[in-house]
Amino acid sequence: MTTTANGTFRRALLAGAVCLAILGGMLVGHAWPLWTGDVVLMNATGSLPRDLFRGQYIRLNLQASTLRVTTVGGPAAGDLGLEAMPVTTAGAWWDSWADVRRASSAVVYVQLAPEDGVATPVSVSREAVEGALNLRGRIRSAQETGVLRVEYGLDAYYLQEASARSLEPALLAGRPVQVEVAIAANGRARIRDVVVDAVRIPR
Amino acid sequence: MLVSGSRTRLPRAQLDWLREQSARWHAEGLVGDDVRAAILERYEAETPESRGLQALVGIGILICALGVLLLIGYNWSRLPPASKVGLVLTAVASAFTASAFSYRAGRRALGETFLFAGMLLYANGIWLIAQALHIQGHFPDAFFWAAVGALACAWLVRSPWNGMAGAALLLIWGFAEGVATPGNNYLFLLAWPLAIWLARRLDAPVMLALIAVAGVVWVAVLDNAVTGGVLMPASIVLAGCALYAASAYDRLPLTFAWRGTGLLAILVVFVPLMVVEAQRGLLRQTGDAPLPLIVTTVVLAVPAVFGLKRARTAADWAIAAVAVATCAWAGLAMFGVRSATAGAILFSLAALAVCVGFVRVALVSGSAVHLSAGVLFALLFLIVRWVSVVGNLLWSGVLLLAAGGGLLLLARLWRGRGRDVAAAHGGGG
Repeated sequence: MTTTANGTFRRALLAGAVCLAILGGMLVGHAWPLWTGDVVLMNATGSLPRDLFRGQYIRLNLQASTLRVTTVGGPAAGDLGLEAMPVTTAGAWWDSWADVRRASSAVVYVQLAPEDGVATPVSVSREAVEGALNLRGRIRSAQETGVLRVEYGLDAYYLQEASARSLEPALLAGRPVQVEVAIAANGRARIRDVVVDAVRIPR
Repeated sequence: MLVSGSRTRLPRAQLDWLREQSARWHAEGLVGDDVRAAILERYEAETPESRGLQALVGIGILICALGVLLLIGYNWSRLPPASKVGLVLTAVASAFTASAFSYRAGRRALGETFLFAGMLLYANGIWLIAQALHIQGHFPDAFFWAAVGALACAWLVRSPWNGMAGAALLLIWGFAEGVATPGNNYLFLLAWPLAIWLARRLDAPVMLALIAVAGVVWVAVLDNAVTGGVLMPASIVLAGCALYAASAYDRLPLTFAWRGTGLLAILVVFVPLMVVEAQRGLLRQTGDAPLPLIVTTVVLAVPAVFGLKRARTAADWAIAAVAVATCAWAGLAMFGVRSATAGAILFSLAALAVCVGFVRVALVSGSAVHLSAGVLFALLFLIVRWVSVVGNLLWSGVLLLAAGGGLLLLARLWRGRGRDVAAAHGGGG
């Protein structure tokens, strides 16, 4: 066995360790909010698409995904045919709505407050607000009317095919969907469970 | 080629060639009888049995691998998340361990194959773990981390295959990130030079070409995000010129990667720039060109024009002229001097200049690569200009006659050059 072969042996093992470390980091990053975060329940609607690559999953549309920033003005949410949650701005925010529109995919923090046992968005800011429960998201789109679409990385819950089939009638009938979410101190959130029509979905 | 014991197995035809050639060398007194025998002793012909066995083993392994994948796939949705994650991690660890032991046993090809398989399993593992744990991250990040892993493997084990995969993933990430977060992907500016450094270290021209393409794609996507794509073709042309210029500072065979991707970028974008209607559409919007557009143009123009310092051949000068013409066109457009017809004529002349420059180099040096590039630009010019007059039979006829005549003249010059070279060689002998 030559020195070169020995060196390559070690370097190939090191390459494997690097790849496993990245996957490990991904796992820890995922688990961190689940280990340390505050658990809250959030309202959502759900549909059951089937994707060639992603398989069977519930596409979740959180109530907090569509916000209407009331400090900007514009028509009432009902007039737009959107179920947008009215929120105010808190702390740092852009000077004008044109700036908000330009800041596409910028990070924002949505402050949640409990209402009948469900965490509901009350305000939105560019930075986490001290003392509040901050949910970190990215702006997906911003309309002139003050309606903000925010993505939290909580929009898909993968299922077994049998579970998906059993859920289909409830989701098609528009039964209430609630998502149990763990939110870490930095605002990053992970889904713990999904409850459809008061029934917990088996993982 | 297989190594069996101390003898290397060759295909029958190759071994026959070696026997025939060595007999001639022996007859000419180049090698002695014992040397010829010693050389031939190192090789043996592959038998139909050994080839059949190889095929059988290969097919068997392939079918087993497919069977394992299908069995896992069949049960995948039934597996609990922890088992899915465990399976992915075990598969990655096994592939890399197998690679390491193959390298230690001196079986480089097998080691490289396992390493590549490990990298593929790792990259797929990112998506599989995300699915198993309901992770909905920023999707381009998955490509970024896959590229980081592949490039790390390439760097650590000096593996060009992993390097190429890493470069391809970098390209996809540059595009996906640019589209998902428009105008925000400045991490690419750090990743790109590192990837270039690695490709040069590995002496991998294909990897370098992929990274160069990733650079052009990044420029195009950034331009589209920042300026709405107003002068995207100009940015791509300048990026192409800059890549071509970079070839003057590199060694063979990496120069081909720089030049090839540079020329490809210029070739593709010359099509709209030579068309009056496309020019009109672009120039209509240049009034809105904001400061970042000017900065982008200048930043790209500097390396493109910097290539002038090392311009040696007519082809180099032609590309430098393209860079200068593009800067002038973009500059004039930004300051309100906009003529679609003049722009189309300018870039048509630039295409002809590139064609003439490359053909001239080909005729002087006998480089078939330069001849091909020159003919490609000539055909591009011909097709774009012909499409613009296709309804007019007279102009179509004149254009095709001129183009056909030009190509025949070129063929004659090329053949004459070949004769001159043969005569010079004959005279010298």
